Amino acid sequence: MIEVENLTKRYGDKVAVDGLTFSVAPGVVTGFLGPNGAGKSTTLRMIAALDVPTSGRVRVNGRDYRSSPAPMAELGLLLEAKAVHPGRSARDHLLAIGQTAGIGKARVNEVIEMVGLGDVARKRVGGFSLGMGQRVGIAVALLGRPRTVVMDEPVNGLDPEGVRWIRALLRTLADEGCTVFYSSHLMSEMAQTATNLIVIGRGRLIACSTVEQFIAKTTATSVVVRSPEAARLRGLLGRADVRIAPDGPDLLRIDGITPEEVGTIASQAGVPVFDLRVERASLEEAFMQATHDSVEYGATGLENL
Amino acid sequence: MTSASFTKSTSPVAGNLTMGGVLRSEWTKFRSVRSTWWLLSMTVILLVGLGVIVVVLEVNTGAPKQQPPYQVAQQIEFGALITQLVLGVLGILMFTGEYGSGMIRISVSVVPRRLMLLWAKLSVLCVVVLPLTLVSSVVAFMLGEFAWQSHRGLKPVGFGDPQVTRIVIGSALVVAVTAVCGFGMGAIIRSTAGSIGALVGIFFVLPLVAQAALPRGVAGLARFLPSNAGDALWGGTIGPRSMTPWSGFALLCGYAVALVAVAAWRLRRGDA
Repeated sequence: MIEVENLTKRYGDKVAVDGLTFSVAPGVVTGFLGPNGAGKSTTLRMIAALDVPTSGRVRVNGRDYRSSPAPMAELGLLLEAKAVHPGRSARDHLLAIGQTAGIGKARVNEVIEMVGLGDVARKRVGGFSLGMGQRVGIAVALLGRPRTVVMDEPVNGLDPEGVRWIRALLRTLADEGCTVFYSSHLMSEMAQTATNLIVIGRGRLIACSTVEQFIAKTTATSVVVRSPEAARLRGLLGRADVRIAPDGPDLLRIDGITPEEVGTIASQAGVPVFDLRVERASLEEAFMQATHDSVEYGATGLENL
Repeated sequence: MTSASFTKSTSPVAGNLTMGGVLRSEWTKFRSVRSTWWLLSMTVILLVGLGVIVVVLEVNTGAPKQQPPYQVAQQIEFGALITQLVLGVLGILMFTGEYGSGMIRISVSVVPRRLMLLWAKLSVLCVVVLPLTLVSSVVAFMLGEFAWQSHRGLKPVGFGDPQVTRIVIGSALVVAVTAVCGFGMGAIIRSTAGSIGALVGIFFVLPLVAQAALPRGVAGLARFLPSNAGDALWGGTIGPRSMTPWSGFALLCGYAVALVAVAAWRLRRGDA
C-alpha cells in the first residue's frame, strides 16, 4: 500500500510535482504513466524517501518509510539500471545491500538465480549489458521479499523474453498480495501487465482508475458496421447524439452508441449487416489524448526534417 | 529465470535494520572493489619504502653527518607526506564511489536513517586506516633505523626518545586524520574529481600559495592551514611560527570533525 497525499516538490522556481494525491492498492499491478518531465521519477524518489518533499507526505504500508524498523521488508526499489560500482561483482553488490537487513548469501544466491544471473554473478558489473544491469536492479528490489515493490522503467533494456518474464513476475508479486507500482513508456506492455493506472502530467494527477476505465473515459468507443445498405442505415441512425464517419463505401464507424442499439435498429429496418464490432482505443491513444495538454517536451513536428 | 522460485516461500527474509548489519554491508562494499586494495598497498609501500630509501641514499652517498634523532625520524617518516594524498583519496571514494554510480540511492533506500550509513562508512575507514598507518610507520622506523645504524659511526636513534616517538606515531595519526578529512570532503562534494581537486588544493597547493603570497603581517596565518597544522605534530617545519605539536594536531582533528559534521548535515537534510 502506497499513500501519497498532497505531495509537492519544487526545485527553485520549477514545480516538478504539484499537489499529487493518490493511493496504490496491494494485490494488483498499478502502472504509473506520464510524459517525459511529468514528475514520475521525482514522485518515485519521494516514495522511497530519497528526495525530501517540499510539502505533503507519503506513507508506505501505512507508515513513514524512514521510521520503519525493517525497511527492506517494506519496500523494494528499482530506480535506474546499473546503479552499481562497475568494479564490484553482482554478488557482492547484492550481499552488501542485503547485509543491512541481515540477509545472507543463501538468499542472495536464490535471487541471483531467480533473475537469471547465475553464470555472471561473480563477474564485475562494469562489463554487463543494459539488460543484465537491469536484472541486477530487479534482484535488488526483490532481495528483501518486500511488501511493496516500486520500479522505474523495469522493462528498459530487456529482451523480449525478459519483458515477458518481468510481466509474469509483476503479476505473481501482485497475486501474492504485494503492492506493485511501476512506470513504463511502453504502452502496449503496460496495457498487458497493469490493472490499475496512475497518470500524471506536469506534476499533477490526470487519472487514477483501472486501465479499462481510463481508456473508456478518455477516448470514444466506436461501433463499426459493414453493410451493403450503409447509406440507408446511416439515415436510420442519424440522431443528434450519434456521429457517423463513412469509412469506405460499405463501412460505418459510429461513436456514442452501443452495438446492441445498432443491431436492433438494423434488424427492425431489415438492413443486412455483415460485420458488427466494437472498436476500443488502445492505451497509447488514450494516453496521448489525456496528456495532450501536459506534454512538457513535445516535438513540434516532422516538417523540417 | 523463473518467477516460480519467488513464490516458494512467503516468510519475510529481511530483518530489522541494525548498525551491525550496516557495518557488515559497508565492509563488503569496501573490500569488494579493487581501488581499495590498490590504495592500501600504495599506502604501505610509500609509508614504509619512501623514507627508508631516503635514509639509505643518505647513508650510502658521501659522508652522512650525525643528526639529532628527531631529524632522522622525520626523514624516515617522509613518506607520510604523499601518503596523505593516497589515503585522502581512499576517504573520498567512500562516498563519491556511490554517488558516481548511483548506488547511493539504493544504499539510502535500504538505510533510510541515513546517518547510520555515514557512521558505518567512517568506522570502516578508521578501523582499517589507523592500524595500517601506525604499523607502517613503526615498521618504516625500524627499517630506517636499521639502515641508519648500519653505517659505522652513526649513533642509533632510539624509539624511546619522546620526540622520536611523537614523530613516528604522529605521522601515522596525521595521515589517518587526513583520510577522514577526505571522507568528509567526498561526502560533501559528492564527485570524485571535484573532491580530489579540493583535497590537493587545500592540503598541498594552499600552503605553497600562502607561503608565497601572504603579506608579511598575516603570514603567520598559514600555520592554521590543515596540512601545516598536522605537520606541526611530526614534520620538518617546526619553528617559531608553527603551532605546538599537539595543538596543531588538535586543529587538524577539528577540521576533520567539522567536515564530517557538514557532511552529516548535508546527507540528512537533502535529496540523495
